[in-house]
Amino acid sequence: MAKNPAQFTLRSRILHWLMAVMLLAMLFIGASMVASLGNYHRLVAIHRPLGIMILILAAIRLVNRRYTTLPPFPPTMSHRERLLASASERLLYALMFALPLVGWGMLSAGHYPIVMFGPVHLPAILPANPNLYAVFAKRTRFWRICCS
Amino acid sequence: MSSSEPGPLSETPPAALRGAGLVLRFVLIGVVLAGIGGLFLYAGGWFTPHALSPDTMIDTFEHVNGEHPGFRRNHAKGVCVSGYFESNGRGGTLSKAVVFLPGRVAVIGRFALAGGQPYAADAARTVRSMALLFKLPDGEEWRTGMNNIPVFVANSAQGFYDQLLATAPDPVTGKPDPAKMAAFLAKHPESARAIQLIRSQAVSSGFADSAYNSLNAFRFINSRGVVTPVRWTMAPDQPFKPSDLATPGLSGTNQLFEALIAGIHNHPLQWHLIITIGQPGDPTVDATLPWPPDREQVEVGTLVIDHVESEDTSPARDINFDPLVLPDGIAGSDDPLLSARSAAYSESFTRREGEHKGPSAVSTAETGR
Repeated sequence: MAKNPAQFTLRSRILHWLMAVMLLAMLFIGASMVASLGNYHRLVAIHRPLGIMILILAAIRLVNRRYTTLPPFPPTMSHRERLLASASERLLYALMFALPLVGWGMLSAGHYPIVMFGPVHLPAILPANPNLYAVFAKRTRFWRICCS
Repeated sequence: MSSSEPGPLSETPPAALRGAGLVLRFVLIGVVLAGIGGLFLYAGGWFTPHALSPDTMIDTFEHVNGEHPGFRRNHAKGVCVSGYFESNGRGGTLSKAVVFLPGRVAVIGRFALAGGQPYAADAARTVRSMALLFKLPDGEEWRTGMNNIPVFVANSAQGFYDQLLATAPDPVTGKPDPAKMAAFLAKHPESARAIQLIRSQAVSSGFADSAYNSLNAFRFINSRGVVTPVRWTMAPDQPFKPSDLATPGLSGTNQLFEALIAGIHNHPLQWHLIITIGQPGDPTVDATLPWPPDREQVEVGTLVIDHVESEDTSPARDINFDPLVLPDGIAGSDDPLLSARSAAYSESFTRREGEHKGPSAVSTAETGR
């Protein structure tokens, strides 16, 4: 086992900041599109493939996380702070997977084609079902309110 | 995934912050968080509560028409159909969309009357709509919602919203307030012109002999990347018969729908998809303006509707006929109504899908199933 390095690997840092920018952009696009008539379509057309890109990067990130040795916590962090940091990291990973999947599932349940770009589109991951769609759509709203 | 294994320490830990330094750090963190939070609220329209949004648009439909849970907030009364589109291949020079390759694609759709009241009586002058979903063999979809009027009554979301309020029945008289309508027409001369053009057209006898127009302009993109501005029309194969009930008040609340259902049972109904090719300078941004009548038109195929089914059982009930669900090779134009329709339809769809659904006015008994 390699020794703990002094800082995160370059690969981890690139993944981190790339995803930070994408996630923040995603939040802003999501908040704007539901309030906008004029820009709705343009924003949704970015929101869909960006969400899938985040899902792919989250998977890459998880693999990277497992096979990289991390720098240690700063010695000033207490045991409780370390627990909190680890728990919030797990939560963030869970959300990076869950939110794109919720969007994908919602479009599937709503009988929408999941268009990425040009003729490229993804298959449905759930059957078209109005009640299922409504549950997802309400969850999404819930997140919107929580996040704001 | 724990990263808490202690590593060898090469540096001495920094001294803990105290006093002013600590306060400064907290203030900085607070400013960044508040800034991001504020921007987020701004993006979500929290600081502009009176701006027109998908929410306010659909709220207004509910306000004007009353609440009818489970139904579309507009074009609420309808019946579902299915059949196929037979492309003749001639659309291929204009658009690379798979739908224009020679051959047949499955279609499901819905005929409806404009307005948010699912049990309103059929009336000859009520706008008729045909909504279609073309299921392309590669999994793409083309959805379109068309009306039997030559131009649309508004050229902006605000104009449409103003018209909705101007034509709302007065709570006392039960009829639209003429003063409000006059004020609307004065504020929106483009709508006054469009309404005049719409009224000048003869109304056909029913759904089957109506032509349905895309109203909004779109762009066709072919395999060489050439972009063509277009509008389209589903022109009926059924010969035009003037409405014998051009004056309001048809006999029977579902007369138009019953005639459509009987027609499909009798013989499949057909429409020809006609693409009108716009020239430079033809308005694509304004759905109230017709294009010059001499524009080149190309017939690209035939729509055959051979099955009719009540909303109570058809999967078409749970489809949002969003006009911007388009295959590669067809794209929206600069018409601002397209994005507004997409946004408002989505809001209406999300609301109705979670609601308990009442029976359609055009019931399974009438569709003969």
